[in-house]
Order: sequence, then structure tokens, then C-alpha cells
Amino acid sequence: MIKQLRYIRERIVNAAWMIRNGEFRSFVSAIFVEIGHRVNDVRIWWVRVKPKKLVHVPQSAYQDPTRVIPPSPRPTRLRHAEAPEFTVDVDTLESELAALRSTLVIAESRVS
Amino acid sequence: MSNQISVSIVTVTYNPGKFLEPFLASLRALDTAGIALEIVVVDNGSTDGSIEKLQQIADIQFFENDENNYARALNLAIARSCGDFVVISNNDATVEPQWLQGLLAIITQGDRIGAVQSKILLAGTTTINSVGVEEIEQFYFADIGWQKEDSKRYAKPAERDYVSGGSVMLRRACLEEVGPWDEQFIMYMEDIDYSIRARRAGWQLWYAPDSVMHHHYHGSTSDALCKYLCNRNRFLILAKHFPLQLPACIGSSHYYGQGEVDHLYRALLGSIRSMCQYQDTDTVVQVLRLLRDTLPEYFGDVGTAKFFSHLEIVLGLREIRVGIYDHAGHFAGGGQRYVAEMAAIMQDRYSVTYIFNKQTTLQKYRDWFDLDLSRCAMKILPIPFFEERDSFMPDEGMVMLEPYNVFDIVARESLNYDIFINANMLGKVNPLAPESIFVCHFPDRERSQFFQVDKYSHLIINGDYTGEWVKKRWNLEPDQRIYPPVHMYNAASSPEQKETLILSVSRFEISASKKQVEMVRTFSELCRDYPQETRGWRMVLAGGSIPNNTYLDLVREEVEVAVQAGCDILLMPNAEVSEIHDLYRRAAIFWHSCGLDEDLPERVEHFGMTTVEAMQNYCVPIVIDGGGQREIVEHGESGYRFRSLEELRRYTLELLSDPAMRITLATQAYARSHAFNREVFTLSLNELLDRVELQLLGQDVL
Repeated sequence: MIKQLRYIRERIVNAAWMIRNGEFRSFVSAIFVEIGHRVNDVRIWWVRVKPKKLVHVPQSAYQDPTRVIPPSPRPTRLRHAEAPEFTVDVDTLESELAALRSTLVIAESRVS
Repeated sequence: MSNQISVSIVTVTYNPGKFLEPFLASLRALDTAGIALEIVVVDNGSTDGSIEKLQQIADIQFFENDENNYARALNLAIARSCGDFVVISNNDATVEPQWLQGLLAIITQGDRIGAVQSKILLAGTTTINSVGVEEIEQFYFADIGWQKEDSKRYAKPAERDYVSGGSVMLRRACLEEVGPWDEQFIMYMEDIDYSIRARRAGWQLWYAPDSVMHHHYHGSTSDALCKYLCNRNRFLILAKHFPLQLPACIGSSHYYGQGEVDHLYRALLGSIRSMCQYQDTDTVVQVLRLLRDTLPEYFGDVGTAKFFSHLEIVLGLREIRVGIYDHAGHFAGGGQRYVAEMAAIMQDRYSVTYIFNKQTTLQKYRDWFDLDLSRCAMKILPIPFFEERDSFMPDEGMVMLEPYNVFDIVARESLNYDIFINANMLGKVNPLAPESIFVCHFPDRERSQFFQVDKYSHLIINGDYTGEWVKKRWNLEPDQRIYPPVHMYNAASSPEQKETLILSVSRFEISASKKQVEMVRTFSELCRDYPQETRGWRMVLAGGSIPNNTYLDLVREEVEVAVQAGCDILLMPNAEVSEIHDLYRRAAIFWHSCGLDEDLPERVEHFGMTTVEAMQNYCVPIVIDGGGQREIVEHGESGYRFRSLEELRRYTLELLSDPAMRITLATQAYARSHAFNREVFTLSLNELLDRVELQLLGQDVL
């Protein structure tokens, strides 16, 4: 919330500065930039709330939205990386992941 | 000289093209009063001829980076530079003469000023590109002043939270304290990471208005790459510096907003991996718990379960699990052998579980194919729909009008593995493992309800004929061809020591697609029309058969007629493996006519393992000119291919009359057969597995 207020305050300060200094072109441009941000917010909100049809599995109980078909274009290649040095206790992590997986109950048979 | 300030200008090139010379010219025009200057240029693998040009320039230090990684190139260049101040500069730009002095004027004003950024204008304009960087919201960062007209507002030095790496001077002491640039970022936002680290170490970051650069925006990279890496690297920033905020920032990711859920999934895996390098156990556990609550909104329960499972192998907590599903694994066939050979190779590399539909044992594979699968685990997974109908094996053709996919139980099982292999073409099984392989021996059916093959990560075919029909019927592009492994070599076989024997080895299919009746008739006609040439020649028809096979009865009747006419023909249904071995050793000629005069592509031999087996034993193949046989036998070189029974007769007669040619062709057939043996299969499979593993565990590189 504080971050959002700070953001609004900065925009107001900037707008006031631009008007005071006669920088109307910059002022108009800033308005459009701001509108662009809000439009993007709405777009993201819509993607979140709209019914998801990223993967069409006809009447299947098992949908996996991570499998986008065809895959999104990726401008990079993949390579095996060296094993990193972890600062975490891997045993704790292992049991935590197992526990988290166990909380995801996925039906053994069809879900109507 | 001793009062001079030493400054190193570091720049990383990648196909700089037309930008390079103006950039270097602007450096030479710099006001260097009181400055000892060195220029260090690192190239990231340019292919536009720039390397050759740079090598010829005397007044710069030039070397090449062995990979295209901007952050790594910076680290290499900084390590080689020796100035008290290091300036990192883009080279798709030109700088004004006071550029360096402007930076020095600010950085020398305080010992704790670690970095100073120039005023970067868009080239050819007075529009701002960057006068610093700020966080706008949700850990998105933007250039301050972006696309605004340059004005008095940007004329004063100011402290910044973040600086752009496009044109920045760093104090050597700061570089040494903060450490190297993080190479995980590759490029983009590595400067944000560095700014955060520098500020946390107590260094101030400033903006210097009198240092001016004119920058060609995205002069050396693409928008697509920028967007991809910025989104990916945003999660790395979160993982490294603001881990607890990461789950709440998933929804605002552009990856998600644009439906690139696969990128989001991979970026999150990478960021958690990175988090484990920088955060303590409690923090990571806390983040994982938050993700448990957050991820189902984006990935669903199935995707979330997959994510946590995938994370286990990305973090190296366990070995890779492979599930091989063969719904027809309880009886022997070519498809079963193909996949069992895969399992035999994979069991030494992964934890492999064979999933069957009916009760069976892995010991049977030793009896059937002489394969030791003792290091594989086994699981029986009956499908209730087919159990209720007492089916011998699941037949997806029976699943047409059901309101749900009866194979979902197998889909659910696939979630327990990292690599799921659908071994025997059940096209309605939805793969939920992170990586999945569909092995296609032939696309027997058209796409229909619940068709899932296009959801597999890899579609493997057993030959080009199958591949051609996969494209026609399913409109899918196979991603690798792996010929079946054939290993029927016999040291006792030789092209010279052959008997006057024509052999056919094919199942006695009720559908009559293998054409044994036609072959018997053809041999009979040969014997009748060319008694001299066929004297002493015998024909043997071997192959498997089910009990009460009506087609076998038909073949038997045809053989009886031929024998009564004086032909020497022997029928050997369900012969022992050792008998088949012996027949291959003895036979001089091998006939195969599966699919002759057939209209349906599935009734033509898809590959033809028995033809290769015969060739491995110096039999000369005379086979149908169709299906997979075209890939195996090179007409006139390693055997013959016929299009009609008349041609079969003619080619056979040629061989009967010319023993020397038969020996030559037999030797060439033997040489050709090596293209389809177990070694080639192993190599191809390992190539596939390397790619699959890379998808599972690989990290981005350019």
C-alpha cells in the first residue's frame, strides 16, 4: 500500500513539475504511458479471471495448463548447468516438497 | 603521470556491425586530460566479421568470450582491466567528448560512491533513454526519463536506487567488494541485481548529467529476447533479493499475462533453484508453502503437483524417474521388443518402472527377447472400463461415446514420473509428466475423441514410412526416427555356405496381410515353369500364429497343393527361436511381401524387422517395394524390391541362375543391415534421452 501511495505521489509531483515548467508534450506523453500501464493491468486481470482454455483436454479430469500447445517461442537454447552450491539443507527441502505434494489430492478416477 | 586517474572502458560486442566504428571513433575523441585510459573489448561470438576488425586495432585490448553471456563477458573483461575506475559501456552508441570527465566528476566526490550512470539519450534525438532506473511496481523496473525530452529536470546530479549498465562507471573498490556480475542473468537486469547488491554493501549510486551517451535502442539485441529475459530475470531478482514476495508476483508476470505458462513454469523452477543458492532453509520452505497456495491458481492442481515433483530433480534431490506404459506388455510382439530394448538401456541411467495393464512378469522378457530387465520395477494398472468388459487388452477404439476419458487413470499415474513413455500407441493417454515420449509404430487410427498424442513432448517413429503417415493422419511432425534394434547376427552364417533355401518369416495374420498364400503360389509357379533352375530349392514359411487360425489353414491347403505338384515347401508355424536362427543361417534368399496390392497403409509392412534379421545372416532379401522395406533394402545393391509377383519371380530367378551375384548381394545386404542394429538403436536412444534430460534440467543459454 505504501509503495502504491508513493507511486501516486511521484506521478502527481511529476505532473505538477511538468505543468509548472510548460512541458505539456511530456505531460501528455506521461498520461499515455500511465494509461498504457493501467490497460496492461486490466489485461493481466482479465487473463487471471477469464475461463482458462490454454489446453483443451476434452472432458478430461486431468488438465495441465503448464503444457502450452504449441510451446511458446523461446529465443534461448538449453544447456546443462553445473550443480550449484546450495545454502539450504536439502534433506529439509526434500521432506518439505514431499509433504507439499501430498497435500495436492488428485483424483484417482474421473471427476465429473 | 603519477597524478593521472586510471580508467578502463569495458565493452562487450556481439555482431556490432555498423555501430562499432562510430563508437570507437567517439572513444578516441574523448577528453582524457588527467586520465590514463585503457579500452577492453570482449566479443561474445560475433559472426559479422567484427572479430577480424577488432583484432587489427592496436590501441585496445581485445579477446573473445567462449559463450554468448553478457554478464560473463563483463566479469572476464573486468578481471583483465586494471583501472581504478571501470566504465561499462554499450557499443551500439556514441559518447560525447566529456562523457568520461562527467562520470569522474561525480564519482570522485565521495569515497562511498560506487557507481555513476551517464545521461543516455536515444541516438539522433534529444529524447531520454535513461537517467537511472526505478522500480515502477511489482518488481518491474523502468528507465527514469524514458522517452521524455531532455530538459533542465535532468540537468542535476542525483542519487539513484538503481543504475543502468548501458553506461556506468564503477569504482574498483566497489567491484571488489560486491563481487562478480551474476552470470545466471545472461543479459538484462544484471545491472539491477548489481545495484541492489552494491547498495546493500553500503555503496551509493549516482547519476551524472554531464556524461552523455547517444544510444541506438536495441541496436544489438531483439525485442523478443529482451522481453523473454527481462521476465525470466525478474524472477531471479525476486529469488535472490525479495524471496517472500515471489509468490505474490506470479500473477503480474508478463509470461502469465500473455499465456506463456510454459515460460512461467520454467522461470519459477529456475528461480527456486537460484533461491536455494542464496537464501536460508527457513526462507525457502516458507516460499514453497506460499507457492503451494498460489500455484494452483495458475497451474491447476495437476500442474502444481508436477512443479513440485519437477523441482525435486532440478534441485538434485533424487534421480530421474521413468514410467514406461505398455498396455500390451503381457504378450510378445515387435512393439514390446522395441520398448523393452529401450528399458534395458534406460535402467542403468534412471529409475525405471514398467507399467502393465495385466498381470505379467519382467522375467518373460528374458524368455521372449533375451533381455535382462531386472533393474526395472513393475506396476500393474488395470483400467476399470476394460476390466468390466473382460478385454484381453485395452482397445482405444472401444472408447468413442463415453462422457469421460477412460484412460485418465493412466494419465494420473504418469504424474508420478519425470519421463513418461507411452510405448504402444494408446493415443488417448494424456501425459502429465514434465517430459513425455510417444512411441509410434504406425498411426493405425485417425484422430478421434480424446486424442492426446499432440500433448507429448516427443513423438518417436520407427521409420520414415510411419513418419509419413503420422504427418498425413495426425498432422504432427515426429521429432526423431529410431529404427527398431535388430540383433540376429550369427557368427556361423556366411554368404558362401548357404543351402538352396528360400525363407519367409512372418506372422500368419488372420487378415492375410502377410501374403503367405501368394508366396506359395509364386514358388509353385517358379518350380513348374523353371524346373532346371529351381531343382533342389526349398521354401520354408515360418512365423507365429494364434490358435485356430483360419488363415494358417488356408496356407496349409495351398502348401499341400504345391507339394503334390512336386514343390518342396515346409510350413513351420510357431517355430522355436533357435529354429529360426538356424533357418536364417541356412537360407540363401529371403522373401517378404507383406502389404502387396493392399490399399490401406496400415496393412503394408511398417518396418520389417525380419528382413533385417535375414540380412544380418547373409540372406539376399527380395521384398515388397513399399512401406518400411524401401528404407531397408536398396534395390539392386543390397537385395531387390518387387512391385508385383511377376517381378518377385524374375528377381528370384536371376539369383537362382547366378550364384556369384547372390554372394555379392548377400555381402552387401549384410553390410547394409548394420544400419539397423542394436548399437545404432542405443546411439539414437541416448541422443533422444540427452535431449529429454536437457528439457528437464537444462538452463537458458544464448
